[in-house]
Amino acid sequence: MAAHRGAEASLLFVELRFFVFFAVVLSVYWSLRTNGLRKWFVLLCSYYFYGSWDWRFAVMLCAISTADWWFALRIAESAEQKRRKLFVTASIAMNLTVLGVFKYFHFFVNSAIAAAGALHFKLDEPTIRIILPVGVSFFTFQSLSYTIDVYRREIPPVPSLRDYLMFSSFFPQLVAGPIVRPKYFVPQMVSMRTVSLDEVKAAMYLFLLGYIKKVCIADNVSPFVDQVFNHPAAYTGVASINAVWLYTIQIFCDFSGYSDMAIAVAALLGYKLVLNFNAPYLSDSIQDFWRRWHISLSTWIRDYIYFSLGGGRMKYRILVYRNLLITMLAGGLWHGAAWTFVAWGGAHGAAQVVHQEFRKHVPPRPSQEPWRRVAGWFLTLQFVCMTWILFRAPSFATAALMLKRYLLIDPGGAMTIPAWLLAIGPGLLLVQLLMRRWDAGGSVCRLPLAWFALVYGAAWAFAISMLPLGYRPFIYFQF
Amino acid sequence: MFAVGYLAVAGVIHAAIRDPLRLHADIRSEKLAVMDAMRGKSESAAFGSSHVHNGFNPGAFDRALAGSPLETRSENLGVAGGSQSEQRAMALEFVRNLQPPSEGSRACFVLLELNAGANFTPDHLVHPRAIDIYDWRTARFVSHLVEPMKSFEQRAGRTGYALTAMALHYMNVGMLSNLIFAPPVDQAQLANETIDDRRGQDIGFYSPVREAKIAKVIAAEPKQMKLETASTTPGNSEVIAEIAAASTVKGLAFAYVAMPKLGDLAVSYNYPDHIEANGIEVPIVNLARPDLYPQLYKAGLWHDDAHLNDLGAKMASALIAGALKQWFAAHGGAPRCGG
Repeated sequence: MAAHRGAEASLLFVELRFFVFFAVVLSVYWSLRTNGLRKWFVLLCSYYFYGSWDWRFAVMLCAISTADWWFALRIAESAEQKRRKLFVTASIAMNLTVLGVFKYFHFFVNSAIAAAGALHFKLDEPTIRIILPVGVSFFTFQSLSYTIDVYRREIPPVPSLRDYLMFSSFFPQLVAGPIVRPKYFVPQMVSMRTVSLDEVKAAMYLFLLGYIKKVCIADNVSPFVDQVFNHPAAYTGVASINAVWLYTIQIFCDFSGYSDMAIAVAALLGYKLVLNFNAPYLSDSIQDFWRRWHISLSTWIRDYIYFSLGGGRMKYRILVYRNLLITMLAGGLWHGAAWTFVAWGGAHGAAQVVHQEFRKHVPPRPSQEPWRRVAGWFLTLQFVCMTWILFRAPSFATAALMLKRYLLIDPGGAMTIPAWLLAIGPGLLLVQLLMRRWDAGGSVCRLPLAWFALVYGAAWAFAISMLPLGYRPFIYFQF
Repeated sequence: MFAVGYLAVAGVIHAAIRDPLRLHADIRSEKLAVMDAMRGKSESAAFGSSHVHNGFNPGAFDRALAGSPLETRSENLGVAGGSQSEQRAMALEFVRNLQPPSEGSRACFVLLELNAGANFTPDHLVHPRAIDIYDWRTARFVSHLVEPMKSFEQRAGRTGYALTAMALHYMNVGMLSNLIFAPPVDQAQLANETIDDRRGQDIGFYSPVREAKIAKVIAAEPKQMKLETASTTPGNSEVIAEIAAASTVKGLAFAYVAMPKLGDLAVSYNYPDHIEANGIEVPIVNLARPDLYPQLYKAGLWHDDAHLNDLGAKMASALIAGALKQWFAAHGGAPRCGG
């Protein structure tokens, strides 16, 4: 896996190496007097950050970004539609080729071998092994959105190569998002960034929250999840339910924890990134879930795939559903080069179709509102939990076995994991509800500086004691 | 104020963790399980690193002492990848829970490895095995494990490691996680150390292929061994006194053992015959001397270039027992173990 390749030298947000790196970055960055120098410095740091995984991929990132910057300039200066189309097609083709070769080569080849095998043709496996560059799905999508937006005349091209390279490699969000849109980020680069004390406090709070999610929760539950998913036949049905619930927690805390830290790191440099998660497990429908889960990706695939296919403005409803399914299948494939991810995307697409049909035939009435929302929340959460099985399982066979155990159709083996872990999920949901109701973040950040520091120090003491020792990269680095 | 908040909570958490040695740590936890299982069934133990973990056979040791005044029943509490700091922690835990033997005429041996590393290797610094045990007493002990004539580099390295590990210990790094989400003991490893009455020994098996490889390693060693003089450190004596003071039983018999490695064929160390600790003389059995124990340096006795296989372990354990019999016979007999 790519994330393991440069594991010893890579700069993970949760490691001491990153803290040292970022302390140096912050002190130098804020001592620079001009915006131009600061942008050069951030650019340099971003490439150092990415090169810490593998410097060859940093060279590749630079080449792709430079090419997209050049394509966008050509698109903007061309009056002729044909030339504009040619350049945007070239940009799309280049980015998708990079994605296809590095991420999907083995998937396509192995699928072709399996299909040929089903037709009684024997194809040999290629001996070449392609290493997946960390975060390739994120930066190619980000780069694609830039040239497409310039083509659609939604934004002007970025005249400075330095500025574009900085946008495309901005280290806080480079390897695992949020996927940043140029129309949101590039205008921020025009002026010198400043941060207020309140913004610093908010960013520090968010960083700690992300750290707690990733380190104290996700990393601590992951060994139990791995235990069961690695040997599903050996575990009881209750252990399987436990593992699926724990994975539901793990993936949310891992990914949203990273996003929180990325947003916080960017904020400390004076840049704002988009919100990527908004309490997705409190969603009361599958549509609502996708408005709250990995928001930067769901809006990306909506704007660049769903709308490109015609979106909801189709003559027949069946065509709208077709667009929805294609979009969700693509979203599934984006996550990983395996059919289980495609199936996961397909299941979410199908659920959205079913939900839209249900709403059409049984429209909500105000009198039904409270219980319908509760039922909607419960069903949505159950569906999301079950489909995470597809997301986590290494194969359909494992997924089918886990699903049977989860639904208690199959009694399973004799091994268990501690039953008390079942309480973590409901407990965390309750904590999230209370934190939202009482605006915990706002309350902490509104404290006077001395009290904020006291609470912050106390929270770090707890967080560090909850650090499980060992290397556990972020799950989304592999995407 | 940040520091105040931090220290207050860290202090509360630290106080709440009553027994850090018992927090889960790979490899050590399995050895602690062996120790617990053997409680009341043995009164002697060998401590140290992988050289002891592989190279001490309790059965062979006991058989060699059977019928003598030093008769005992032992176990192997060496921990692979271990250090002087860890063997100290393990030995203290052992003697705190030691039950006096029911038969009055048995000896209670605490066998410590003299040539185990002072600290763990650097990649173990951020690991429960180091963090959980490095309280200030451990750090102080390690800082006393420096030979007076050794270089500044060794002093700085050993003390620096110990101080860093101690800082992580008092910051409770990972300790609460370990308490709440403790992983299970590795049952396969535990079975490997307890099957066939192994009593903690992890056996390195013999194979002709391995023997051929080891023979090549031995052949590549210089024909002439270099013998250098080595001294013990103040820490080596202090730990004996500390263990004796912590013990629930009186009359422990201590011994230091230098375990052999094939590298001894090139350079070997001549330690003193004994060290003084707490007013008693503690023998040093130096098996790492090819000139004194040439029978140990045969290819068929080794698992790899630093660890004995089971055949080698049996021979080494019998040699240790023989050396101890001689020593105590010449020095007025072994102390009797009692409550």
